[in-house]
Amino acid sequence: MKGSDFTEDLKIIELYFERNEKAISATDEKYGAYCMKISQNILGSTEDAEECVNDTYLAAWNSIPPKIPKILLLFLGKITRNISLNFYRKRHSEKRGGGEYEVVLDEISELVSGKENVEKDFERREILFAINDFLKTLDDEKRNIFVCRYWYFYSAKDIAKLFGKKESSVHSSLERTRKKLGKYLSERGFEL
Amino acid sequence: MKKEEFIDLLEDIDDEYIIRAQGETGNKKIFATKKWFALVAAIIIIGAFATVVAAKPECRIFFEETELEGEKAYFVCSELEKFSSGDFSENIKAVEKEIARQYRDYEPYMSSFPGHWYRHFSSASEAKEFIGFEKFSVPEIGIPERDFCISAYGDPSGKISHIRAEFFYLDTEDGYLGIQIFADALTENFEEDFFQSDILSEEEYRTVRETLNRKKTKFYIFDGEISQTGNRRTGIFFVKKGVLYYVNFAFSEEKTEKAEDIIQKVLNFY
Repeated sequence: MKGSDFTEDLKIIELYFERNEKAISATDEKYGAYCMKISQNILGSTEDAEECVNDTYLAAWNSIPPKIPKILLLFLGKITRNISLNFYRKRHSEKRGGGEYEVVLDEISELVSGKENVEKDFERREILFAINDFLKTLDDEKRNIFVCRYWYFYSAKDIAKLFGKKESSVHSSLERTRKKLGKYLSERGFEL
Repeated sequence: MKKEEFIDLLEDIDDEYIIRAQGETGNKKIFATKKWFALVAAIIIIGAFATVVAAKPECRIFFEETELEGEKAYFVCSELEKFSSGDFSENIKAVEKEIARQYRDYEPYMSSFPGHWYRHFSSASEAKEFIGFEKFSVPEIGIPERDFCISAYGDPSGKISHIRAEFFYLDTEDGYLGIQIFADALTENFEEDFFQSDILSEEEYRTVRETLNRKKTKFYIFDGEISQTGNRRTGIFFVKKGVLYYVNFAFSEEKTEKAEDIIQKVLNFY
């Protein structure tokens, strides 16, 4: 990712507010690779990822203003993740694709029942608070590995490289964290 | 709850965790290095090149036992010569300034982690010319050059403690052969007693063998895990002129002979 100056982001946001199309190119220059990586991780296809990243820019264009992102990186990352997941679900409703999404889903299956529970909004918020509390209990490395996998959809291979570990160690770290999380939630009365 | 819902729920975990994890992904060149993953693999057959010459190697390589996620593993450690900044070209001063700037401008939520500078070059000679360090040397590999990168690691004042050169060669005609050469040089600012360059699994460690060539260079050779593509891998560690080298060979069945020739060439060169 290029750039290190927070004011750079403010300038980009100003361009959106001025409805200046340079906002898109500036966003792409600074955050294009970041968004592409998230989308590629999920979709496993550069072409599809490009489409989703373009949709991300469009969504940013349509929502700023009125929205003022506090952290542009997060704002774009969340939109990209969301658009890419929806793209994947639409495109691959019948067959499995080549990205990490399906593999992550398989891993998640041990945490959830898969049943059609209708959690109310406040219940979902409670679950989210519990997950955040659980993540707080992890050391930095285990938490970062977990987030890289389940938020950014990095493959175990990529994570192994990022953290200087063996792929098998990443798998076992993730497995242990999932089990701990399941136990943590269950002990607090959350049956997913 | 359905799996998909759980994935969606995770989108809203604490922002701080997402940003911190991004710090891991943003500062370690995952975009540049991903292609290398597929290229790592190789076999080596040590033959007639080894001569039994009793000689003391100039710098020591040793293995230190550690544990990774409950499994036994081994750090590859070395005691290396420490060079002064005068051993490198004037370009190093600009790199020092850039590293100091990275620290100065570091913004925890938005920047890549400071202290690591790198640049890609179009050829090995261009990279060597930039760094101006005579002791980095690579033989004529004889297969297409693909990527060359110089990295430097420094502290907030810009003082560089470690410089790494990476050379990558790739031949995919009628088979697959990838070769990576990593050369690590430490400077007088490197404060540790020894340098840890890699970790071997216990399985890899069991395959380590030592040999000397006619120039009395001592090589440590190990066989790595076979990759998903079926390629095999072997690594060679050695120290030459105070620099630690790690050469990684990857090749498919069809390229075995060619790989062995180049391995022989590498072992004779240093």
